[in-house]
Amino acid sequence: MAEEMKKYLHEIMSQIDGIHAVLITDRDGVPVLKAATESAPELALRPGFLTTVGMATDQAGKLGMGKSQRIACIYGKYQVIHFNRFPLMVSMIASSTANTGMLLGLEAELSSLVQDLKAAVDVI
Amino acid sequence: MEKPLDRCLDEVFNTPGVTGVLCADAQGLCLSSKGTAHPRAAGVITSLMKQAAQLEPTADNLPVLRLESESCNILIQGKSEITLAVYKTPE
Repeated sequence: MAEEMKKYLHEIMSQIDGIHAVLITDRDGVPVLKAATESAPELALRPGFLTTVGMATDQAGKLGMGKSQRIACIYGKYQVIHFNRFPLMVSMIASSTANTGMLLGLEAELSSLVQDLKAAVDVI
Repeated sequence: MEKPLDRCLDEVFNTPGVTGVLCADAQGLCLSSKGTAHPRAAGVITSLMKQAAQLEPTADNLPVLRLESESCNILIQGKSEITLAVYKTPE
């Protein structure tokens, strides 16, 4: 089952140029599902990075504009897109030149997968 | 800040036969959209423009793309950092 999900993530990744990794984590940054290419920056795949993202999402939710849904951070070489799907988080790491709009559009494609994982996490 | 852009898109949108207009930046992020043009399409529209530009890399101007379907025609043109898509009813 997990292998199939991973395969599905790799399929989705192949649709967009410049995407390095897609990670589905829980609120604490513990990876539930991970798909990455060899070019993915190691730092972004570490739990420390992913935990910080969870905290950033929580803080962004305190700005008085409702619950934070997506966060897009664009750095010199990379861009990181996060979707908040409580209790899970989807993080995508891509090259800074990758099409941000396309990456944001993946949210709909990933929703069914996240929904299945959510059901599994809720049971645990 | 975006008022001049909105005014410009309104002008296009009010043209007979036009059902939607979308403007996106080079990153595929939607700057503004009207009517049937969904903001989520911004990424795909920018990507199509970039792919089409690769067909003639030496050309001075970016090409105009025309996507035809039964219910809608979409015209896409890019200029430097901006891509504009116009959704029209088929003639």
